[in-house]
Formats: sequence, C-alpha cells, structure tokens
Amino acid sequence: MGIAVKIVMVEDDEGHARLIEKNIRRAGVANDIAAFSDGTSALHYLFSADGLRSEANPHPTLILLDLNLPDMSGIEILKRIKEDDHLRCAPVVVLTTTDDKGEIQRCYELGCNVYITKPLNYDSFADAIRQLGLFFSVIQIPEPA
Amino acid sequence: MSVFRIAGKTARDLSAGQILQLMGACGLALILLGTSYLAWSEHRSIAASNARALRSTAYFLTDHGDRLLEVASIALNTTSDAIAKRSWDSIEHDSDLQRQLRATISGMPHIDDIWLNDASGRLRLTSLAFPTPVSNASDRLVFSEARASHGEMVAGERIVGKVIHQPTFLLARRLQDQSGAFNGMVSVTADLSYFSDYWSKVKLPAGTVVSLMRASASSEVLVQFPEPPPGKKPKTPGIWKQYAAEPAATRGATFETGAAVLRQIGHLPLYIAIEAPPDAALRGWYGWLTMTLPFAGFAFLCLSGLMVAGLMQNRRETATRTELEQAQKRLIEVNAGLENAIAQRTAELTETNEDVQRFAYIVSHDLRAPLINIMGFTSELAALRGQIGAILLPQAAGAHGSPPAPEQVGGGDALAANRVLLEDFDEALGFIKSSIDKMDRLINAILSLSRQGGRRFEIAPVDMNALLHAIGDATAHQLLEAEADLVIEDLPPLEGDRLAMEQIFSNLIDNAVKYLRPGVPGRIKVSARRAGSFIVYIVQDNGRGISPDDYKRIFELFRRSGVQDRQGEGIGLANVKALVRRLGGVVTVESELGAGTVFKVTLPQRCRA
Repeated sequence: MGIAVKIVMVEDDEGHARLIEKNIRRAGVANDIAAFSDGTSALHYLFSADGLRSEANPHPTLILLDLNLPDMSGIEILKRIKEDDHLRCAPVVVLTTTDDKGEIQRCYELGCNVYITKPLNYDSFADAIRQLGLFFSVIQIPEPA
Repeated sequence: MSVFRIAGKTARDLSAGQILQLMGACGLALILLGTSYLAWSEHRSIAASNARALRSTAYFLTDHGDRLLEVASIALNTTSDAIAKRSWDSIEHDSDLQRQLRATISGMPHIDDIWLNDASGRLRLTSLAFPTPVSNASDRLVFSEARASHGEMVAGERIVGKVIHQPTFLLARRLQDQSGAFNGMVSVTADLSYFSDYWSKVKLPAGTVVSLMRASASSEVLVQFPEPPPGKKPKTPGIWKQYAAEPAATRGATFETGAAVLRQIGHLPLYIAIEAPPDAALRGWYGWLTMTLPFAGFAFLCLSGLMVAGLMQNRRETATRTELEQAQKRLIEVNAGLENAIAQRTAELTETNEDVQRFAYIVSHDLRAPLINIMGFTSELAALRGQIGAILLPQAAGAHGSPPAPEQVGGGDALAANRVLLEDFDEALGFIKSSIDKMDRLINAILSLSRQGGRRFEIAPVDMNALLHAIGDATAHQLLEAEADLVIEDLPPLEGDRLAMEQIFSNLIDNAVKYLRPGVPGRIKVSARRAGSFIVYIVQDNGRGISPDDYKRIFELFRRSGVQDRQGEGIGLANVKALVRRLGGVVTVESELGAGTVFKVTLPQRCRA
C-alpha cells in the first residue's frame, strides 16, 4: 500500500465542487481533497515552495480540473502541469460543462487523462466518479521523481 | 498631325488612324509628285519633239524651194546660152528664139515666163508674147540688184499678176559681154503658189506660220501660209527680226529659236521661216494632260476618299473604343466599390455571425453551470426525500414512488397528512426535473446550432439520389411505424456540403414522417427540377399541413406549429433555413391544413462554401 493519493480539485462553482465532493465520497473515495476556486491559487498551490512542493514527502496527486475558471482557462493550468517535470505524471481529470469535440481533443493532446462532461444526471456522474475511485485504487500512481 | 510628332514615335506607338494618315499622305504625295514629274517630262519631250519636227520641216521645205531654184536656174542658163554673143537687135526680132523660149518653159512647172532685158532695162524678148511688148524693168529693184550682182541668181519682189491675180516673183541673173560689162538681165517668173500649195499639204503643228522671206535692203514676205486675210499685208515673222538684228558676219544658213526656225534656200537671199505658236508645245502637253490628268485625279480622289473614309471609321472606332474604355473603367470602379462594399459587409456580417456564435456558446455554457447545480441538488433533494419518507412513512422506506398502505402506519390521520406532504414534494420535484430536462435540451440545441454555424462547408459533388436513399434507410423504422411510403424520384446531383445536405433533408423527411395525419396512409415524395443554374428539390407529403399564418413561424428557432403532440424543440426547420441560406439557396413552404405540405429547397448547382 503506497502513500494516499491527494486529490487537487480546481472548480470555481461552489455547488459543483460540493456535488463532486459528495459524489466522490458517496462512491467510497476517502482521499484528502484540496479544493481551489480559482486558477491563481491552484497554480500557487501546485508550483510554489510553500504549497505542494514544500511537503517533505510529497503525495502522489490526482487533479480534477474545471476548464471554466474566472481568472484563466483550465487548459492553461493543464498545459503548465504537463510541462512540469514534477507534476507531469499526475493524472488529470478534466471536468467541464460541454462536450465540444475540439475542446476534448485539445485536452487529450495536452495530456489530460480523463475528460468528463458534467452530466445533469447524477446517477451516471456518480458511476463515473465511482469508477474513477476504482481506478485510483487499482492504478499505482507513479512516484514523483 | 505633325510629322515631328510622328518622327518622335516608333511605328509601334502609332495608332491605326495615324498609320492610315501617314500612308494616305504618302500615297497622295506620290501621286502628286509622279504626275508632276510625268507632266514635266512630257512637256519637255513635247517641246523637243516639236523643235525636231520644225527643224526637219524647215529642212525639207528649203529643199523643196531649192528645186524651184534649180529649175529656174536651168531656164536661166538655157536662155543665156541661147542668146550668147548675139546682139540685142537680132534677138529682139528672132521669133524662132521666142518660140524656143516658150518651148523651154513649157516643160518647166511653176516657171511662167522668161524675160530678156537689155542693159537699159528695156524688154527685148519674152516667152509671153511676140512681138515683144514695150516694157522697161530699170525701175525694178531686181534689175538693179542683178546689175550689182556677180552673176549669181537674184530674187525679185512679189508681183501680183494684173490679169490672173497670181502672186509671182522674179528670179534673175546678170548678163555680161566678153569684157564682163553689164549687158542686161535674164529672168523668169516663178509662181509663189509653188510654195503655198505645198506648204498647205505639209502637216505642221496647229497655228504654225510658214513664210518665204526675200532678204534685201528692204526685206519682204514673198508668200506666207496661212495666207493673211484679203487686203492685209503678211506679218513679218518675229524670227526674221531677231535674225536681222544679228551681226551679218555671224549669220548662218539656219537660225533657230525655241519655237521657230529660219533657213536659207541655196545661196539666194531667200529664207524659209517657220514659226510655231509659242504655246505649240503647251497645246500638245495640254492634250496629254487632258488624257492623263483624269486618271491621276481619279486616283487622287479615290485615295483621298479612302483616307477620309478610313479616318472617319477610325475616329468612330476610336470614339467607340474610348467610350468602351471609359465605360469599362467606370464598371471596374463601380465593381471595385461594390467589391469593397461587399467585402466590408461580409466582414461585418462574419464578425456579427461570430459574435452571435460566441454569444450562443457562452450563454449555453454559462446557463449550464447553474443548471448542473440545480439538477445535482435536486438529486440530493430526491435522495433526502427518500430518507424523510422513511421517517414519515416507516413501512415504505426507500419506495417513495409507491405510497405505503395506510394501515401499516400507526396514527392514520398523521400518516395521511404525511402522505399528502410527500405527494406534494414529489410533484414539485417532478416539475423541477422535467423543466431541467427541457432547459437542457434547449441549451443543447443552441449549442449545436452555434457549432454548426461555425463549421466550414466543404463543397464537393453530392449524389443526391444516394443521399436521399440513405436517409430513407435511416428512417425506415419510423416510416414503417407510421405506415408511410417514401418515394424518391431521380434527383440531379449538385455541388454542396454533404453534411449540410444530409441535415437539411433528414430534417424535412423527419418532419414529414412526424406530422402525418392519423389514419391516412402517409405518402412522402422527393422530386427535383432544374431552374437555370439552380435546382429545386421538392419534399412533398400528405400530412396534417401547416396554417398559412405559421409559414414564417415554423422557420424560427424554438417555434412550432399546430397541435403539440410530438416531441421537438422547434429547431429542425430553423436549422434547415440557416443551412440553405448559407449554401446560397432559399427554402419555401406551401401547405394546406389537412391536405399536405410542400417544402421547396432551391439551391445553386454549385453552392457557396
């Protein structure tokens, strides 16, 4: 059993954040969730010395990323993450409201691992999150270099 | 047109009109120069040939005169010999001698009589009559000239016979004795008609005057052709005056001026003067000119006419060309303005279109975010209701859809009140959910329209028969359900965007299938006809029809017509209309309530990209 995966959630809509968290918990995932409601603070957490990197024994990280953020596009954050040697290996789940094909393709090109359209039917969303939880428990997240 | 301006240009720079003018001017100059040269040369040649003719005429007229002199000379010699060494008295009475003289001259043409005068001038014997009539020649000029001569022949003055009015003149010679002293004169009368008759037969240039001049102290015209009018003395030829003015030493046997010749007959002081009129050469030349000039003039006129016609034509063409060029220029300017206007308008429209799409995208995006919350928390509420239901109605826990039996719950009144409460709760939740679903569909529709508006068309040949049959296959299930037939006639292909065409005709056929009349077997027909560079595709059904009031409405977004008994957001026809318009076509509807509907899609054979 490795070190518990830390979930970083970047979501500006508090309701969404709450719903996602609820459904993740309901799906049986108990990992620690760090929530951020804007891109700037999320980036600060991800890249600054007093954030994620400051921790002596860094957690393997999973990132839940909304694309519509008030101060920047989630795609920008995705790009930064995938360009970073340290964070490159962290899986990124893009959660967004639309299923625009061009946007989906762009996210996958930038290295996003899963792209989930926020569904209105929470039954199926809960299924997806549950599967994600299953995915987390099965997959061995690579240790950061 | 200035020659210098032409010289400054190369031939390539010259217009057709200028070349025409240049060539015409050259041609005219050539005609003028050529004609002038020919005229000048002809004038010269006529003058020369006239002079030649005069000279040769003078020669043979002199020769002709010479022969008379020879005859006269023979007569004079014969007579001299006959009287040699005889005394005048014996001669005077010698009738035999007189007969002999008559015989002598009878064989001599143009010699009329022989006269013998003694040194005193008294007539001693004549061939005219015997005995000799009394006459004395001492007062005659010829007598004194003969007496002064050295034996050569001398010519006398003109005598007009008193009887026959024949002009004659005397040719005489001096007689001398053994010592050489003057002993009288022998002379013959010569007819001047010898000359005039002959001259009249000679072909001479018109107006030519021939004169026989007797040179002496007082010169005299002996005979002249043409004869002067009766009663007038012949005019002394001008050439004679010129000749007489020359110094005697340098005078030759012939004298020539341009249009006249003077020639001496033998060694006698007799001259033939031929004077052509000063314009003789001109007359021949005029004749030549009247023969030649019409041709030159005709050529000149023809060429001038051609030039004028050519220039007029050229001017017309130039004017037309100028007008054309100006019109073309204006057209280009107008076109450029038009293109600019169109480009600007297109840019504006594109921008507006992009704005609308961006707006639609953002709106649908942003509308969705709260909707997700509403839906999510409604689900949370639904989950909570399950828990609340279990508390309020313990026996029916987790089965809120089917109300629990009242008898299973204690306190019937309270339970009944709880049940009503839960039913109200469920009803509210149901409305919220169905509204959310509807709003979700609307937002999705806006999103899909905005995406389609942004899609770039790919114009390629589309086999419309194959496309419609594919649509028919895809809707086969609905057609079967509605008990409808789809008839697809032969459709001409066109160049368009395949996806757009699919969406247009899928929507139209879906609608046709969807809105059939209950109980009437559906019949949907797709046909087409060409209209110029357009193709009109016609989708006809025998369905419920559309009210004329709604013809416009049905193409508007989220608007629907008739009985609302079918699922739909009111998007299909709006989408059709947008697509057809973007392809450069137009879609119209004709319908009758309860009879059927005809949609006509008119598209260019080659659609806009």
